Amino acid sequence: MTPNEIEALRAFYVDNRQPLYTYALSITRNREAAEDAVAGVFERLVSRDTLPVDLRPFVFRSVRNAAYDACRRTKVRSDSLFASAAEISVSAAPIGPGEDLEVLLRQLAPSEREAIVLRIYSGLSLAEIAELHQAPLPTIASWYRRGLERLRAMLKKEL
Amino acid sequence: MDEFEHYLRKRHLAVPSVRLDRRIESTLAAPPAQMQPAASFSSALARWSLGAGMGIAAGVALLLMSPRKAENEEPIVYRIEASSQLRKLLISPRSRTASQPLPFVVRSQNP
Repeated sequence: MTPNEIEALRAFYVDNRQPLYTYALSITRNREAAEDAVAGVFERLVSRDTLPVDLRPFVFRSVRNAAYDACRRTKVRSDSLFASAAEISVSAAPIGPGEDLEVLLRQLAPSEREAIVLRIYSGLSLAEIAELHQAPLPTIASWYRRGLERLRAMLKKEL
Repeated sequence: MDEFEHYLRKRHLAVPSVRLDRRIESTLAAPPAQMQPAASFSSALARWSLGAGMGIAAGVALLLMSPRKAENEEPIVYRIEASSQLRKLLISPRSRTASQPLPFVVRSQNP
């Protein structure tokens, strides 16, 4: 891999560290395992001769696979996708911690939850999610819309 | 993106630790791809040398262990003598009166 490609990879990590980590954490539900999954993907990437052309979907797909692999090895899976109350500074907290949302997200079907996490919290477009899942775009849009509707209904009931 | 999606997005996410950043940085600072060719070449060379050495040793051992034919080795002689009905057939007509049958002799270098 050329120095330019290494630089491109570094820039990609800086831009995508939070989305990649959030996605991995949504699968592993273990912070350490999520970080291992992300780091492992980058370690494998730099050992390649060249970077893949479709880097973003490729890396997200690789993180997904690594996270599911980590799930099989991780016994304790109770970490939330959201920052805890202790981690949020009072001034920067217009909205509370996400424990309630975490519980509701867990009640969705895995496909719906994953579509929501990727769209809302990792910032992928529906087309990118479709490419990542290698599924038709209408299917992904359906998962996303259905998940949102269910989440909205559950939140209304909570309030 | 509607109001509900914005509401969801406002939630504070758990952030990756500094440890992950350091790990990625060290990976990118010393990419294994740049170091791998030398390492893999030397390990491949070692593996090939070991394989070749073992192959030569096995060949020599096989040569030493294989039975060598003595140059002046006597041929093996089989003497077959029938004991019943076949005995009569083996007796030569010239020696019909003979009580003993002619021996049926096979000479062979290869037992």
